[in-house]
Amino acid sequence: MNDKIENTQSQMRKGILEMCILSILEKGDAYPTEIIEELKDAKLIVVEGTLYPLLNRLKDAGYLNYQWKESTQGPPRKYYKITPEGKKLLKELKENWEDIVKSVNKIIKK
Amino acid sequence: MKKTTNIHLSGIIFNIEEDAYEKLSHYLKSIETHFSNHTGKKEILEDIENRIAEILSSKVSNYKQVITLEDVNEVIQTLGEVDQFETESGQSEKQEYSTTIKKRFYRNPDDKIIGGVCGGIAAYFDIDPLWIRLAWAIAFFVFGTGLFVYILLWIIIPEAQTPSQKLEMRGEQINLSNISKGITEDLNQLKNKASNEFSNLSSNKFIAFFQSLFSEVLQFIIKIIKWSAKALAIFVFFICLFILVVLLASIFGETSVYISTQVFNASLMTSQFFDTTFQYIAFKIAVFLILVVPILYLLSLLIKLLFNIKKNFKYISFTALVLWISGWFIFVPIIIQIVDRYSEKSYSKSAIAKYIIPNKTIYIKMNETYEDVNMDEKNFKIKLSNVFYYSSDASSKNIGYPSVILRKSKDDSLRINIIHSALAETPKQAKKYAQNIQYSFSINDSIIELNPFFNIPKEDQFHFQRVKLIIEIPSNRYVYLSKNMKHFLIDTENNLNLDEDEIVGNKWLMGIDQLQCVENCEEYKAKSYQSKINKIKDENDEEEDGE
Repeated sequence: MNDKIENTQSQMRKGILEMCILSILEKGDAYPTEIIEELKDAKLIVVEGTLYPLLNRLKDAGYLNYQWKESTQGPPRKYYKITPEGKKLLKELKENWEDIVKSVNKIIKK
Repeated sequence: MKKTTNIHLSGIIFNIEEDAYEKLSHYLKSIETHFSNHTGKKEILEDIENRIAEILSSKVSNYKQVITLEDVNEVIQTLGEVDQFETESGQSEKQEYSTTIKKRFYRNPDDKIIGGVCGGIAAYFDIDPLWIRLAWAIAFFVFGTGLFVYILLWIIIPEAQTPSQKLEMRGEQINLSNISKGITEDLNQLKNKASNEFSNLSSNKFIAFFQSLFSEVLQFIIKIIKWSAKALAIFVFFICLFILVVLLASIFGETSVYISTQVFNASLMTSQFFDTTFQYIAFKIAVFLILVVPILYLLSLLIKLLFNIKKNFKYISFTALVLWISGWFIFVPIIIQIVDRYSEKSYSKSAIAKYIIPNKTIYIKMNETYEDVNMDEKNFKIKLSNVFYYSSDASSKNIGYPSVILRKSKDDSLRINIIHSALAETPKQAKKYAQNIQYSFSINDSIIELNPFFNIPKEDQFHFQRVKLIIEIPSNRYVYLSKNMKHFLIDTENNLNLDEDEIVGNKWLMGIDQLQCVENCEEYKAKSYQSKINKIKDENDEEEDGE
């Protein structure tokens, strides 16, 4: 049973993470380190390695794109930008999320 | 003092301490392996390297120019170990990109009709169980092969009881693309390692490089050998299955196999040697235990090996051994009985003498209209010694063909000695069987007409019955041997030293001790010469073969 709980949790977390990445980028373009900082603050992730495959997938699916920008320190950085499709997806995800929160709260707080 | 190495990440050069380098390199390799099946592998790796470069460049300044182990540890802590990626980004990702779920053969308790074997196979190969059941139903009628293999699988395959066993039962799909995926993964790892080792060359680690390359290549070869061993096991498995079908067919089947014109029916053949059905069934059981049990055991070992079944074979091995030995305990006494059954030989002799007018040629021929026997070859089921088991729609019995010998008579009369013989447990019984043989021929004037078959009463079964006709011909008499005497003549000497089969269809004169050629002698001499040449040739060939 433990396996099952863990699996559901990680599935949920994955969906939530994708939503959060999209909403961070909706506020403005950012490079991975900035996104990580915000996610770490919100205690959504602990290690940075998690983020890269997620960004890669979102980019491949057409929800994000990026451009290179020179950095004063270290190598050039990828600045990620949300695409119109990404915005559409985010809107849907947010609506879904609110629905879920509402329904779950209803049950939990009874 | 510590030695440093130069590396570059995302176009930035770093001075790094050796131990720190080792750790970083190992870390990057583990990430590479982790994402090896990911479509965006290259990009993700670039991103991660980029990030590492960023962190490391914040660690160096004018005062601290070298990357230390501590810095690398910090990088790893920030980015996280590979297994942390998995837990944070969801397990579905692990399922998508890893091939490590071990699949096992289990009987399926949720989809069963008898023992859940078919359901388990269907789950293992991910196909509709209906097809498996259909195949099994067909196999069931192939002399019961399906039944035995089913019982075998029922015994050796455990039932999936816990949820995790049920998960294992379905596991990952086993198909060709998966197998090739496994191999390419191994190849990729090997390639990666090799190229990484190449980049190490600068730091003069020739020996270490070759050692590790050698061990990698060796591991790869071992993997290849493992795969080919599996392929071999599958091959042997199907051979065993084929042998099983053939064995069961000969034990339980009643079908005949036609080998050119000879009919072979193992079941009918063996049944001829037993006088009681009980003995015959016991014999069949013994053959089953001695031959089929080891094949079934071998099959179960192969299945265990191929499908990675965890089952203690102690009891199965023990049972198989006990069954096999008990098979011998049944078999040996039966064989002794059978040998005993044919241990004594006895004869029944009779003779007919007739005076023949001199100068008249004696004709010897086979009766071609032998009505008792329908000459259709399909009716001759088996041949034992010179006896056929004959069975037509109307009747079934044993019939045999007689042997004919021509000799010189001591006096002026034509004499025919008829010798019946048989083998049995006691001389008395043998005599009875010999006497029971029915054989007839006719002498009409100077024409001897023989029957091509003798009859054995049905209840007598097979007892090596034989009929030998010794025809004694007075000297200076002409004998014409009809062409249809071919195959019946034995032990008959002639002045041309021709084989018995070659002297038929010609006229001969009984000389002082053997037949003399009178007609077409040139032709027969040529025949004789030719046959001698052939004989010499054959002998030479044999010698050559011997060498």
